[in-house]
Amino acid sequence: MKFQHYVTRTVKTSCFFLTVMVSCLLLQQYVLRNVDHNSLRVEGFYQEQRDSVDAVFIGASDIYTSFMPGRAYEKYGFTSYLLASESITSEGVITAVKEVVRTQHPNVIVIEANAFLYGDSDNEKNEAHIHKFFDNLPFSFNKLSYIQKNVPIEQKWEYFFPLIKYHGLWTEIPDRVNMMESNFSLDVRGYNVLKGFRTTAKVFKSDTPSFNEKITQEKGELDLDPKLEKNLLDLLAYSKEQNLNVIFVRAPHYVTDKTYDRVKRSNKMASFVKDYGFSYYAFENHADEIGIDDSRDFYNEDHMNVYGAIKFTDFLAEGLVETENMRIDPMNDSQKEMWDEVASTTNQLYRYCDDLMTNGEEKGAQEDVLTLSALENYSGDPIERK
Amino acid sequence: MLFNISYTTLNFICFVFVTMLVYFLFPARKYKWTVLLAASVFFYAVAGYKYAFFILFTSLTTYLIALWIERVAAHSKKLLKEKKKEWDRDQKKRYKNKIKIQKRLIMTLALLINFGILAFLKYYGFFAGSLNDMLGSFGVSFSIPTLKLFLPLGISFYTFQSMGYIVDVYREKTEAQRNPFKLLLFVSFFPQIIQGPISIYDQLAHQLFEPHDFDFTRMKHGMELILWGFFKKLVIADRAYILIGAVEKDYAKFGGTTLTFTILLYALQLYADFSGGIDISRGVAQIFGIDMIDNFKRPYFSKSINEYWRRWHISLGGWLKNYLFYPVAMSNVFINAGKKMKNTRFGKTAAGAHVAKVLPTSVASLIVFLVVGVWHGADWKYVAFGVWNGVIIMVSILLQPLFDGAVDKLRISRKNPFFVGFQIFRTLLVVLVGYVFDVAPSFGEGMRTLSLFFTGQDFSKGMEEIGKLGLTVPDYIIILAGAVIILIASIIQERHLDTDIRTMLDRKPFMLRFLLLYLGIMTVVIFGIYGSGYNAADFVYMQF
Repeated sequence: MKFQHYVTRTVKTSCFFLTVMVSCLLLQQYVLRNVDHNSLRVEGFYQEQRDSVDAVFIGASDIYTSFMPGRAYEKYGFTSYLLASESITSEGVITAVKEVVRTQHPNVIVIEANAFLYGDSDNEKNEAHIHKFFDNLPFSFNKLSYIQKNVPIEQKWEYFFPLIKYHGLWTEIPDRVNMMESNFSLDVRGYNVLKGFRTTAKVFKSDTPSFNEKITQEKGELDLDPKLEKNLLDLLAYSKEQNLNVIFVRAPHYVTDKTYDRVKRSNKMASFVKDYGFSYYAFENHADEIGIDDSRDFYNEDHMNVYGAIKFTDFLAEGLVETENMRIDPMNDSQKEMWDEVASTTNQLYRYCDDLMTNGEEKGAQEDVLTLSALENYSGDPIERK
Repeated sequence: MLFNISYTTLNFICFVFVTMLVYFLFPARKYKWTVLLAASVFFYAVAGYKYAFFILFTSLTTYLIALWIERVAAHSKKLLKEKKKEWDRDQKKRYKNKIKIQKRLIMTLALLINFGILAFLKYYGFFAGSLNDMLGSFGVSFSIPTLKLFLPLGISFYTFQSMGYIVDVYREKTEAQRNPFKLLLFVSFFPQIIQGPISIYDQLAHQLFEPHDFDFTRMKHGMELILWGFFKKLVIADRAYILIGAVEKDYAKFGGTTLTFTILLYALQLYADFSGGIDISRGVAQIFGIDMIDNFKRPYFSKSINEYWRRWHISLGGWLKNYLFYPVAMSNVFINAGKKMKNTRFGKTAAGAHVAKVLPTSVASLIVFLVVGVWHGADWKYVAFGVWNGVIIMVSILLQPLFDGAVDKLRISRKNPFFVGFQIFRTLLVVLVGYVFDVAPSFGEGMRTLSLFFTGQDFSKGMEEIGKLGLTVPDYIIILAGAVIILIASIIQERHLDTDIRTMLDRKPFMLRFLLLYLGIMTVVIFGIYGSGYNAADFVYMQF
């Protein structure tokens, strides 16, 4: 009798705590969570079948707005994913590379240089930028070691249980319904249909002159911030040690006098990268070859719109396949079906943005329910570049 | 602070969980108390390692002096026994007096050392500043240097607690503790170190040293009490503090309506904060099988200010009653003063006889509340807070027959709910006036606030100001709902004084309990003010 009482009590108590834990996890995953394009992109990466992606692109917005995995697949036949996050830190890049090694073993890892080119290391401490990436990583040794090493002790719990940080978001639920739905539909679908690509439909018009022509002649170098340099060297050493096929790139930008120093730092970074025997492509210096039109192909100084992105994607994908001899693995029928949908959706997105820009409308376009439902009216047929 | 281990953090929950595991699995039953000691030392080291010297010093002096007092007492008893036949009555009396004085001197030494440290660290700045102001007003250029002194964590609480123990040893109400580590545990027990309650040695110590086995019901009740504390602290108090903190930052610019609203909200915030913190402390202690005294008994239901102080911060009230009020009221000076008054012409009248009878207690009350005021902080506004409460109590004691007569003449039943409601409302108003001096940044601002209550009410301006103080409509709804929940729980508890709500809850169906506790946890998780997105307020009484 006493034993039965003990068992009943234990079962009831366990049920109670289990219900509380599950409720908290569901709240954390779907309701009280800061869902944005970064979370959908990073989460989508972990939904990819293990060892199924030929190339992974790592970096900040510079890469997820300029490379279109759907287009690369359609034209050059390789699969890719953008494991990127807004203003990702250099520590974030290192963790991303380690996570790629842990989960995908791609044939090539392409790293966009932005995180290492800041004039100081303030971005490394920018909580918003850190959270945008690390909140969305599943629990792993890599995440744990980042938290142990970098996060102040009083904030560590927030990285393990983001609910601690975001529980107050209940006040914003009405404004967040669409992103909550997008998060849920991503989980139901099981893959990110744009493979992380995001853009803004807008043509950048500026009175500030572009230095894009001038930089092609620029050979000068500027020292990297010491902390960022150390992180770069750590990353290079790790890549060498792991025998990774890593390529560093600098996506095209609308360079101005204010951002000119980054070009010089990019040159310095190229020296470091080459010293370790890796390739570094500063595409900022190849705008003409790519066919970038300063007056049409950017939506702001740092980001290309779909007109620029499609040109850059073609150029980079062709380079990867032909110059870098990237291996392309065969895929099964279900993967092919998914990637055909990715290509078709990317084409729809291009046409949707083209339409918006032609009509002078400005709008963000990404993996979310609002954008995806808007795409239904557009054709997914292959794009002929204008 | 090495890292944040405040009662409302996950760090603290983990710390309690680990301590609990070690305590209940500790193989040497006799030495289970050492787990609590290690946990308390760890807690203090993490929360206030810079100040560890002070608590160690207080523990050591308390330990040694208590033993000294006891040794003197034991020696004197032994000698009296030996000299029982040799000494006559007068010799014995003289010797006893001599020993009494000796013991008192030793006790005074302990009180002077430890209250001296407290007074120096807490009040030096206040006295130096006040003295410098006074000298300056007389044109004296000399000034006492002001020092930047820090206040060790929980210094008021552990000093009061350990000095209570010294007095109890002096009064031979308790035996001196022979194990210094056990005394250190009594002084530093981690659930009470931040904000009390101030425990009496006889009530707490033996519970700390006894081994306790795991008890499911105790554990459940402890956790329920912790949840209730979290609800009061995180959902209500810290939310209300958003507005109160904003007003405190720029106090002088607000009008009467805003300040009136702030004081009302402060009454709720202070109660939710302090009693919530005590609930967490008591809940944690209960998990370990230790019952700490309840510091609050629904104080806002009090029908008089006297009753309010018997329901609010009960452990401080109890300490002051035992160790200050009675010694003062029962002192020869006060008793003789009462007797002298009784023999005057005024003392022969009915009113005079009453005054003579209650004068020692009423004056002692005033002194006690002056101490309460000063205990709250080193500022004239706290002195005003103490004087206000003391004067009201003194007057109410002195005029009691007058009030009773008036009630009898008006034929008002003392059980009439409207009369009871009136008494509660009246008491609340008196309490709120005292709170004005708590919230206002200075005595002058407190007085200005009181005048604004009557002359500065502007509803539309107030609404405009309140709207900009950081709380949103959902916040107000949560605060209101929280206050209603506290009110309902208080009414239920008030009607069932022989038991507590947790025991009553045990008798309800499982699903109802499940639902209530589930809603409680989810309410705290979702609506609580915590995490780095918020600047959660420290416990109000932590600063004492």
